[in-house]
Amino acid sequence: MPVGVPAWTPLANYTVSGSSTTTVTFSSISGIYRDLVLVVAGSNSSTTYLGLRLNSDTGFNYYYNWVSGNGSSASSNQNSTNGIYFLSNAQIGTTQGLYKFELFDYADSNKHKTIFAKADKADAATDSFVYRWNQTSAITSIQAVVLGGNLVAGTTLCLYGVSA
Amino acid sequence: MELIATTTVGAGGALSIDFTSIPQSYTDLTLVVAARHTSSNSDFGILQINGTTTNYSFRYLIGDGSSTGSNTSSNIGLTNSIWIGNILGTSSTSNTFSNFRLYLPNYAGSANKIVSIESVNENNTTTAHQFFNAGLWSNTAAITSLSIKTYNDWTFAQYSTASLYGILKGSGGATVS
Amino acid sequence: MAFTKIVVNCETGVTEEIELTAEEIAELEAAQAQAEVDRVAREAEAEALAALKASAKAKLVAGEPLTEEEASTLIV
Repeated sequence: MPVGVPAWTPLANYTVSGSSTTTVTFSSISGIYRDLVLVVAGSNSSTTYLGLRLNSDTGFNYYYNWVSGNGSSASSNQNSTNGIYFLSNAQIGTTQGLYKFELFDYADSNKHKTIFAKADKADAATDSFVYRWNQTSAITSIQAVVLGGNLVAGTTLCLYGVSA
Repeated sequence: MELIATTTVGAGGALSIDFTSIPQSYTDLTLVVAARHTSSNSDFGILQINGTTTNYSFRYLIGDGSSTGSNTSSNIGLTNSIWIGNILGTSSTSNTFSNFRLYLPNYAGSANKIVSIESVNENNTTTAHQFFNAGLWSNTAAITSLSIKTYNDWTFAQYSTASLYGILKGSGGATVS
Repeated sequence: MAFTKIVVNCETGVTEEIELTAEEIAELEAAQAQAEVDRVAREAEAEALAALKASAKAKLVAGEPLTEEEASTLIV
């Protein structure tokens, strides 16, 4: 790739300020890219679950399997739930963590949507989840939510489009 | 994502691969490495930031084709750098390289620095690995240099490559209440 | 303290900060409870599987017969 040629297009971003934010929604997402990448870096006022809801869907339409290493053991499991959550060791908490979501073929109406979600928290765990959202609708909004407390000021949420 | 710089190790090999004077104009960095070293001994790669040897910690998950495991930097006694994964040497299948992808969010900011690492290698033996590591450099300084080397200071083999990319989030837009 | 939601319009770039309604707060609390149930259940399953595998391995080493449940944990 020649120097300076972009492959990720920045779509939107938000840096948390104050102490009341529990939800950040990216709406009116264009369907012209192939994949989306959402990078969340920061912390929360308490330890809780960070996750995504796609197109405001809170139904049990998210199927997953995961692997996790918490520093003493490796584990793996699978099931379904009502959002894209890190249901293992690397929950968002009061220390810095990185939560990266890759949403493949997000606008393809022929596919259920595959999401690769990775959480890295050096004092807790490294977790890797793969989710399938069982809808063929194009993803037009992504709601990032913490299920307790609030996102700490300085936490960043950045959404990128990846072109084919 | 934009390419900042890339390098390929020449015939003489290299003890380390360093990126210095990293521009501070991006939001995140990602470093992609393909590496092999010239020793017959097994070894792993390490990352050091801004030339420092302190304030590192990490927690990893590893699978080698027959078992899985997880451990921490303090348990294995490695605190002067961040482990990026195993690097294949001359005892591994020829022409095979280990691959690493490191993601460093908000590298120019004033918080402690996260390093997310994914590493894979496959060489048709029982010593191949998948490796995920959650790393932390507990230092609020902006990252201006990154150095990759082997833990035992073996030489990187010819054709090892490393590419540093910058990711820019763009402007945030107006906020209304 | 009132919790808020942020809505970032990717088309226009405009970001709104909106106070959560009581219903939205209740929904988050319910989702948290569900997530906790899910996590605890999955971790219990993972721990049970790990225990079965450890038992299976110990029995194999000792030359003892495995239960069907233990045998099912082996991947050949």
